[in-house]
Amino acid sequence: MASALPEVASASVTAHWQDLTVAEPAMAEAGERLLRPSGEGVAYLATVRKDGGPRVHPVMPVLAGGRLYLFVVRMSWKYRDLARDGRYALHAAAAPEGGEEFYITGPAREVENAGARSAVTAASGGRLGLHDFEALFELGIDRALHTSWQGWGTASAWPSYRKWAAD
Amino acid sequence: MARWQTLETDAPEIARGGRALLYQYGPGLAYLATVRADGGLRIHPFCPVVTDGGIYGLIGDSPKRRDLVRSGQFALHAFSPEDRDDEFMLAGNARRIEDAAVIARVSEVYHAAGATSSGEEWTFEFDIDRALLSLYNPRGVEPQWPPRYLKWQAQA
Repeated sequence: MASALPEVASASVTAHWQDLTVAEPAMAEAGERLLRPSGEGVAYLATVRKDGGPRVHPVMPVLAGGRLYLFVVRMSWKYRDLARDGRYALHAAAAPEGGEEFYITGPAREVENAGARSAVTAASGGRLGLHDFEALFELGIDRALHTSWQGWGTASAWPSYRKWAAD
Repeated sequence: MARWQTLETDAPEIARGGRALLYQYGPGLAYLATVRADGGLRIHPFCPVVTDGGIYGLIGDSPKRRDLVRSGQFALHAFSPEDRDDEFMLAGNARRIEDAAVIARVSEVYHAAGATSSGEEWTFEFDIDRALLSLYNPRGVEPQWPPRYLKWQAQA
C-alpha cells in the first residue's frame, strides 16, 4: 500500500505517549482516534522472536495517565518475546472509512506497580487486567508515523506522512 | 519453508480458514511485519494475493521493501473480522519474484480482486515456515477464551 516512504533516523531516547502529545498534538489526536485506546480498539503488535523474525498478534492498547499500555497474557509467545527483547511495532486497525494509518515503534517494558495497574484497568472500563496472568507493559515510543491518503480507494491514491522521533 | 500449496495440502482447514480471513473484505488484506536493519520491527497493511499455489504481495518502493530484500523475514496477520476475534498469521521468508509470467499472473489476480497499484511495485512470494489459525466464538457467545488453535509448521 505505502510507497516511497523515507527511513526515519534511529532514535536513542524513548518517550512516553505524553511526549508525543506535547510535541505533535495533531498526530497524538489522530493516534488516539485510530487506536481507540480505552480497552475497545484493536491494534496489531509485532514482536521479535528468539530467531529475530517477527510475530504479529492483535492487542487492545489502553491510554492512562499520559502513557500507553498493554495487558499481555503471560503464557503467550508475545509475552516471552517482550520479556526477552522489548522492541515492538504497533499499527492501529484500519478505520472503517479507510484513508488513515497510525503506527509507533519503541521498547516495551513490564510495569509491576499496582497503582499503575489499577489505573490502566479503570481506563479500560474495567474490561482488562482483571487476572494475575495478564502482565502490564508500557509501550515506550521511539518513533511515530501518521499517514493520510488522498484519493483513498482509487488508483491515484497518494499518501502524505507525518513523522515524529523521540530525541 | 513451504509454498502456500503445501499448507493447503498438509493443513487444509488452516489454509481454507486463513484464505477466508484474508479475503473477507474483498481484496486480500493483512498487516505485514518486517525486520529493520537494526533488528527492530516495522508493520504496515498490505494486500496479499493467494493464487497458483503461492501467497504473494506487490510491494512499492518503501522501507518495508528494503527490509524484505535485505532480510526476507516476515510475519503477516489477517485483518480481524467485525463479529469475532478470529486470527490468521503466517511467518517465514519473502523472496522477490523475477519470472515475468508469474509477475503478470499475480498482477492480474491482484487487480481483479479490486486492489489498486502504481505499476511500480515489485512482486514477492511469501514462503511459509509456520501458520496459526485461531477460531473464536462470535462476540456475545460464551466462552470467548480460549479459542481453538490450529497450528502448522513446515518441515525442515
